[in-house]
Amino acid sequence: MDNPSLTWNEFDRYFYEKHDFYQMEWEDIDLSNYIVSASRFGGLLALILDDSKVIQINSVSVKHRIFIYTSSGVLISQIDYGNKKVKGVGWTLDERLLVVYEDCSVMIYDIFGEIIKTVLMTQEKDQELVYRTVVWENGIVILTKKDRLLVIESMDDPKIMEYTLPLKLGAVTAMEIILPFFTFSGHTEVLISTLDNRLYILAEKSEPLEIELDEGIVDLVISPTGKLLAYYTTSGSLYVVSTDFEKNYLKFNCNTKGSPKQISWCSGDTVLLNFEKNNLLLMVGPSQSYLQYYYYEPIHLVTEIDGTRIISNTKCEFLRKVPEVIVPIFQLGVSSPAAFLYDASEAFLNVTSKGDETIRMILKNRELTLAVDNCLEAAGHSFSLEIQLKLMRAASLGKTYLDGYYHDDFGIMAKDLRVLNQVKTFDIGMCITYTQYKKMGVGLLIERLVNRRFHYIALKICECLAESKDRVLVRWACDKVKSSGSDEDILNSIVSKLGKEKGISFASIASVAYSEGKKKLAIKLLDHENSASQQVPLLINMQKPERALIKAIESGKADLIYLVLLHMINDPDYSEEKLFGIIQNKKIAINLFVKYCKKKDPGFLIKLYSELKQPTKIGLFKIVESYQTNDFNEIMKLRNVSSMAFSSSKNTFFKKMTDENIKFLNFQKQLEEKTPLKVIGHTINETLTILIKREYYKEAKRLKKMFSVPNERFWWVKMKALASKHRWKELFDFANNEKSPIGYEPFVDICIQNSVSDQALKYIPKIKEPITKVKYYLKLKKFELAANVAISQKDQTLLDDIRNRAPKNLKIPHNI
Amino acid sequence: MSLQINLDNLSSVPNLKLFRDFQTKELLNILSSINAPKGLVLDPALANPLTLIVDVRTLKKYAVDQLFLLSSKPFDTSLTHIVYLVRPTMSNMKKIAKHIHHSEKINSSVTETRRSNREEQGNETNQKRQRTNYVFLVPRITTLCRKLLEYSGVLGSVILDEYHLDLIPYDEDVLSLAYSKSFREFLKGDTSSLFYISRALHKLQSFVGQAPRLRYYGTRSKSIVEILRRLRRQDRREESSQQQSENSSSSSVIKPQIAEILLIDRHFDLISPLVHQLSYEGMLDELYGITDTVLELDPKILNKPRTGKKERIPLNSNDLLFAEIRDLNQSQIGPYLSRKAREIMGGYDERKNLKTIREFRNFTGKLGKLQKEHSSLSTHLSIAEAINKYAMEDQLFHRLMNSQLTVLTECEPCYDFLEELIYQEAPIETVLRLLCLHSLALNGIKSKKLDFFRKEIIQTYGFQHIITLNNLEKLGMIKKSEGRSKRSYTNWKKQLNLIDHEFTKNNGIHSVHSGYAPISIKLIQALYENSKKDYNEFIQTYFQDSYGIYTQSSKNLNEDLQESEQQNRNEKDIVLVFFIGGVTYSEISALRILNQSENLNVRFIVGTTDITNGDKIIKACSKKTSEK
Repeated sequence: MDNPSLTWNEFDRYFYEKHDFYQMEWEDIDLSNYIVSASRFGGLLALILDDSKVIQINSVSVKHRIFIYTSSGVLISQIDYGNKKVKGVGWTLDERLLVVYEDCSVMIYDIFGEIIKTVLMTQEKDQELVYRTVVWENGIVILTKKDRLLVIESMDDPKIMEYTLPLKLGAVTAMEIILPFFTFSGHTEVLISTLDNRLYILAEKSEPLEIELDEGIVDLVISPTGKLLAYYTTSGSLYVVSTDFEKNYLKFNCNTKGSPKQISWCSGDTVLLNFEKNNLLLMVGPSQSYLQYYYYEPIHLVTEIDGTRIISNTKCEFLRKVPEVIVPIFQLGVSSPAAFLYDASEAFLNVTSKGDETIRMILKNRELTLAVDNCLEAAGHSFSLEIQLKLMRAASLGKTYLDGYYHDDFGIMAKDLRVLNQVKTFDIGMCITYTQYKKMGVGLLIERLVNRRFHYIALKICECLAESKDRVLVRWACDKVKSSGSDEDILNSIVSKLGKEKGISFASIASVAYSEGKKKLAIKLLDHENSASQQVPLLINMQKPERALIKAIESGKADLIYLVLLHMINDPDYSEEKLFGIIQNKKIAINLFVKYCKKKDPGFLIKLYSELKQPTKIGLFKIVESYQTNDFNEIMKLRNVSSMAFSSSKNTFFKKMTDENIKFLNFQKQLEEKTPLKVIGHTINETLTILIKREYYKEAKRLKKMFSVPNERFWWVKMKALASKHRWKELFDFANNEKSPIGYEPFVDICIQNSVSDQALKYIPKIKEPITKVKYYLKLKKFELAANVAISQKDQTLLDDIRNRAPKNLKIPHNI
Repeated sequence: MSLQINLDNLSSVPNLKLFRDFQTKELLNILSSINAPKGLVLDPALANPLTLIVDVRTLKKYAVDQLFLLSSKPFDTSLTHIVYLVRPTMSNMKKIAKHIHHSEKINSSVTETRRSNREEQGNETNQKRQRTNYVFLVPRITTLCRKLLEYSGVLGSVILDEYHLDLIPYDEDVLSLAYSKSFREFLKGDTSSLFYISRALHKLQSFVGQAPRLRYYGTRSKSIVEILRRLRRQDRREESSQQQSENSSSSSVIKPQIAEILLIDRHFDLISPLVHQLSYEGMLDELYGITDTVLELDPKILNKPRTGKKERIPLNSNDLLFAEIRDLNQSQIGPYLSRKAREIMGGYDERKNLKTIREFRNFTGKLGKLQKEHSSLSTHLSIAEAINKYAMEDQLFHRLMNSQLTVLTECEPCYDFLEELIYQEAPIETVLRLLCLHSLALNGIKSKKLDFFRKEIIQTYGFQHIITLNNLEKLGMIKKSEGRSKRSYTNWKKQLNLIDHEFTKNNGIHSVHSGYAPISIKLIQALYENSKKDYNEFIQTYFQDSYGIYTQSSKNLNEDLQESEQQNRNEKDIVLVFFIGGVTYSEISALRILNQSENLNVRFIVGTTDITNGDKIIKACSKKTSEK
């Protein structure tokens, strides 16, 4: 192979080269009849018949169709779009086709023509028509015939924004956009040029910016970096300015009749003008230099980040600035470490000793690492397999002389080249340069391959580059699901291939199966899903609530259980019987359901309990409910229900208590009717207290008897009630009337608490235990009385103890 | 004194500082992501736990201009960014919905008046006044809460997100979820918190390493182990797919700092929390209530002038003196403190003998520490005095302690005393605690007797307690007596040596209840202590199939383990004992006492859903009449 530099053109201080990617596979395609739209990064081409030329062809079969080709001209599919008029076509990065129709509808197709999404830019009744449109990787701008400018920035989440247009918009000559990530506002800006020498810059929520020019713009293009604008004017001049219009970089008179069919940017700051009628492709550089290429067939230019793809009837070529790392290796008369290494490597092959000397020289100059790196990188950028091989060989040779060279770089480049060369083959037809590959990332490359259904190659690439295979496998399975064949076969095939892989989302596969109408398959696939959070929602969607509920319960996530329950509660398709039937033997589900109902829908709960034959729960629930109302009749009604419920559940104790409570409530009611007392809502003890305080002794006695209040409790209540009213005499009478069942200590205590020690003293003699008596006397500082007790008990030590505690001036006897 | 526990000791194992800081940082990130002055509305249930994570000064630094406690009453503020930090409960959602409706109403009325005033200007200023509401649910968004917000029509006007605050270091050796509802949820059969617990434990392990062993006792413990295993499986799957892509041997496996997690279901030992706690910290909780490590006291108890406000005393190991006395039996506190007082006085007295300047300087260096100790000492002396007075003079307390011990040691009922408690209208919690204790320790109460007590309780305390009684019955805390059961308390008592009257002399774990040692802790001791006795058969009869050990099978990890075991052969293995449904301070104290024992080659730290006691358990079973 000759030195590649022989094909280079020196231009504007740089070298440019044109490389043939493919001879086009297609036949009988005349590009001049088609509108072409290409996807970036060496991607697919969409061809639509040019309306203005339909008459010339006269073939029905190509009408209303979009043809999708690879960059090598292999037909992938044809999309029949019916009787509509296409106004614009574009590609998303993952190669979905965006088509804008004249009626303001936008459709996204996958490459096999399946509609993924439809977006209507305007209301149907408005009957707006598209005048002009610009389609880019994830968005759309539409200028309607009624002068409305509509923008969508993301097709994933299509929000339609309307930009304000200038009041008087002249005849539009060209429209272009600046992508959101290049603008200050972070939103798309739209440039519109008009016949009356004006250029408008339009942005969201702001007034149009108007620029008056000396001459009218025919066409305009923003550079791939968003910084430069190239426009071509009516007088045949090309201008390059910064997008903020602060700086003018170039004015170039083309001296050519007619306007170019297409303007394109090429490798940074160079502009290509396609004068198809003159068979001329004109390249213009920043310093007025230019280069002419002649084509005797129609061509289409595709701007890439590092050059321009040129599609013609026969070829797919690539025009680019030669990457800087390559230049010094091959440029004649220039030497660089990498070039030396390259030569040395060649010399080695020819078995001359010159190679070793050269390398040692580079090593001595400490430039070998750089040389190896450069050779590696140059290999990546080279198109020719042979050159790639030679450069890799050179790098490989060089690194053997280096201790501690990071060998991974070599391995990574080798793998990258394998991948690039593989996808560049004819049948795949992805002509991606190394620069593009690094920019787009492996993920996107794999996504494109999978979209093309090259699952196997995608998988192999994943393995080669150690990327996660999950996505590819899942997509393969999804495509498999869509294929014809028995459910059994599909399932077996998927499970046998994916069953052992980790982290495969069977839920997403099942979801595809479901939307394909293969419900049984979907359910079987879901059984292989490990994550319940993915399983359950899908089962709900598939109208399999019982299965969803079982899976949710297995997962232990209360949230998921709720999700299923709420779905069933809110879905009119699920009658209560059906719902109860499903949750009947699922304890956790019932518990959660009960919790929910208690707050949200108590009526439902009663139905559930009766369905589950749990009358005790109904009874208890009615009691809880009764505490939320103050209406006496309502409470009585609820109590009666409870009582009945308890009797049917044979809970005799609860029934007895409830009946007793009904009796008590009736008693209170009567009491309130007869007397001015307010007692409803109080307990039996409290009611007793009220009665005693207000001296309704007869009623108190009746109440005590009615509910067989133990004597002891009655005494405590009465004692406390009297004490609280300071009715000490009455209290004393009460204590003396009968023998106290609670002893007399409580009486002493309560008097002490109320600081009436004279009263307290009255009860102490009634206490049985002498030691307790002493304790109380001491507490009340009645030392003589305490001493008397000790004496009567003949307890000398106690007496001594008392004397020790007593003040010295008191005469406590020394002996009994 | 700061409420945040000092976790700066880097050598402490497990290292909880990173874990706490991570949670703090998450909150601060949330706050700084809202780049405007904001009002923070706190769930009262979270206010205290949050102080253990972050202090008010830091919040101010992050542009929190106003702090509110969430209540059903809407508040007015000129701030336009409101951040709600609340637990995912239905009542909280209702309150938030109410607030938002309220603020929207004000807003629309403002708009109307503006419009009538001046059409043009109104619009712009109005836009500024519009509130942005952020609702952060702690620790997770639940479907139910989302739905509730949706039904109340406010889901669209809030930004809903979550703040994953779960395990909070209450101390160097105590982690709590501060999730006081867990016991009540179990009663209702709601298993939501099981998942929270698992997630929290899982997260903790991502900081201190995956514990190689999980041990579980009780059905809920078993469920948690199952969820944890699933979470681990998921992790491993993600890891392995990451490994594939990175093509490097993962170094993300942290060496385990915790050798074992022991999960204990509160339900297995319901007796111990019912018994009145008599360790110092436990006693404080019983008498005054400790909320999230803070004791709020009437200043009178501390001999300080009344201010209308309560004194807040942080109870944690930052207070060195408290760390020494928290686990002691309350009767030992007085003597201990007076000894300590003499020591400190001795310290002050040193100054009389100072001669050289160096000695002076040394002394002033010590002075700070002395003064700190001194102030802590005077606080605890005052508290101890109050407690002591109560324990000595309150007749009822005295009798209650005696009858508890009678029931527990002799398994004889004290029905008369129980009756008297009811007649005197003692607090219902006290009554029900003793009733449940009877039922649990005596394996049920005779039907006639039980009906009598139930009737008395209903008549005295109100008919609504029929629900409380039913709940207690459901949990098995009260029941009619049956024949003998192998799973009964007497069997535990015999097997595990629960009673020791000589507790003061023996310094054992029996001191925390003055003679009775918690079953839960005794079981743990039996599990880990080298003892000739074989408990297997006994444990088998009790737990049947709801106990076991799950060992991590991963090969790598085992190798790692052996390595680390070899390294730290001198250090004891750490066992995290996690109580599902709450732990009492006495139990924590008992575990700390166990840690002193030489018969154990492990060291325990405590994890729990919340700190509980008998009153809290009874309250959890009572119908909530306050919430209407």
